[in-house]
Amino acid sequence: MSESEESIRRELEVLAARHSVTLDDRDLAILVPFYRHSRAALAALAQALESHDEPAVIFRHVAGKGEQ
Amino acid sequence: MSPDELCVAPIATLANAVQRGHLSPHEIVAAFLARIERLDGRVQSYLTLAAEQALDAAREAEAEIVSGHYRGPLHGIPVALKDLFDSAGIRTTANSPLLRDRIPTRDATVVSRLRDAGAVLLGKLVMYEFAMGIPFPDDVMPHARNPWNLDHIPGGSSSGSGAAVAAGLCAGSFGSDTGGSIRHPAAMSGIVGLKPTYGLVSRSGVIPLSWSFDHVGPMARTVEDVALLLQSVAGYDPADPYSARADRVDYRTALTGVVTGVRIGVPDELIEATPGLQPDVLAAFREAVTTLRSLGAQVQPVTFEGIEHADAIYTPILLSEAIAFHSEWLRTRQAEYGRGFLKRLLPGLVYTGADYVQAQRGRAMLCNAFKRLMARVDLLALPTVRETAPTLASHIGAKNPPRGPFNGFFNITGQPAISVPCGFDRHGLPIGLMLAGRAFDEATVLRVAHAYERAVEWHTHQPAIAA
Repeated sequence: MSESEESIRRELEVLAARHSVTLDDRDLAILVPFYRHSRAALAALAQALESHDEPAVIFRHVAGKGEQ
Repeated sequence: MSPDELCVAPIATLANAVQRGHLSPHEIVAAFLARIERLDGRVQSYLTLAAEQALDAAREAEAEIVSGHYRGPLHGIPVALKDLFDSAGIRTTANSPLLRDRIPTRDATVVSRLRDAGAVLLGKLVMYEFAMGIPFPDDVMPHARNPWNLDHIPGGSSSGSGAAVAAGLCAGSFGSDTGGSIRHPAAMSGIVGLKPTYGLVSRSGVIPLSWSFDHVGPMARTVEDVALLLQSVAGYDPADPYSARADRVDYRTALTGVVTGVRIGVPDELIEATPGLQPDVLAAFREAVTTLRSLGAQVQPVTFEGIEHADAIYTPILLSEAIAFHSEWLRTRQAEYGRGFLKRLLPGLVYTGADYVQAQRGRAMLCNAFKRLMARVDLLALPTVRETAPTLASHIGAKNPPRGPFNGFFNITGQPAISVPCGFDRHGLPIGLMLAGRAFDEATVLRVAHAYERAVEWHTHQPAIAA
């Protein structure tokens, strides 16, 4: 079941408040569809990762060199 | 050489003339300053011109060369930099109203290495605000124009670098590339731009956008010039915690012209399925692949495993890291940002720590998939951009900025990728070919790009404003 626009708006306002950012209607008009798209993309990624037990790349050098 | 011929000559040609005493650094720098004075009112590539410092540096270079102390091919060569490289005593703003009066006291490592090589810094170039903001109607900071058609953008975010190099307003430049910001303007401005391997070139003293995606690299009119510029700055830097201890390579001598036997993978299905790919861009790309094959490359179709997740990996990492860097200013100085930058930054607020870690896990998955792929091929070939440069009018306030859309793959994996001119569309706007190689194998990327460039000679075309 997809989240309602109202609940996404509330969620976004909470997330923005963590950074002391206040969102107006113009910001929310951009962020609500972005939020929906991002959640769907991250859910698909999470599914793909179920069969790949990868450590996050932040724990090693991306190009394989440079460890101190 | 007339002063205008001198301004569009390759660095390699200028360097040869300087070394032989046929041209003096002062003569070269004076020619560039006169040309900037004459043309940059229309191109709008410079944010800050350091004319006096440049003339002083040219005199110093001249004295050194005359006394027998020639430093190498960049000695006395005028370069200009994207305005996010700290330059001691010269304003460095990231083209943001927030930093409009910021004057660093130290040079970025790239700047100090260029100075050590004898290069002369002409000034600082226009860019998209903090390397991400798209032009907006009420922007107070300037936007660079495309020398091939001044109504169009030169690409971004290293927009001034693309424009200045293409118009002959500097001999070479350095930009930064977090999702294509070197390659994109290189393609749209008809020049060469290299995003080196992650960690090969120091980012110390470079205003960040996303620490784990940011790369610094050269932009110039020829592949050989890009090799010379890279040579001068590549190498370990303890001041950059992500700097790599890579083997030292002579990039210029790698330009042997040999392509025979090089295995080049082309993701045909991905390219064909890309929405918005202009027919002229696709045709130029296909022609370029044919040329590479005729030079002896073994071209084969490849599939990018997991690439459907690239956006879910790239965007949370990019924006979470950008939010982390801007967090304090967001709290205290939000009104000072340009609206085009905020419009692109604020979506980063939707991500949580868990999203960031998941994206990094996805990144590891994608890196491993590309590593497996690169065991079967030496290079990958793709169109650098899906469209040629749009007009500035259509770009201002655009919902989505024009992107690769393939550029970000190699910011995720950290592999080197170059854009080299591969033709023009029906309106005379440049098109770029992207070649990506294995990590730290810039030599192969440059060698094949150079052989291709010499075979097709698109680099010899000049925009009317530069002729």
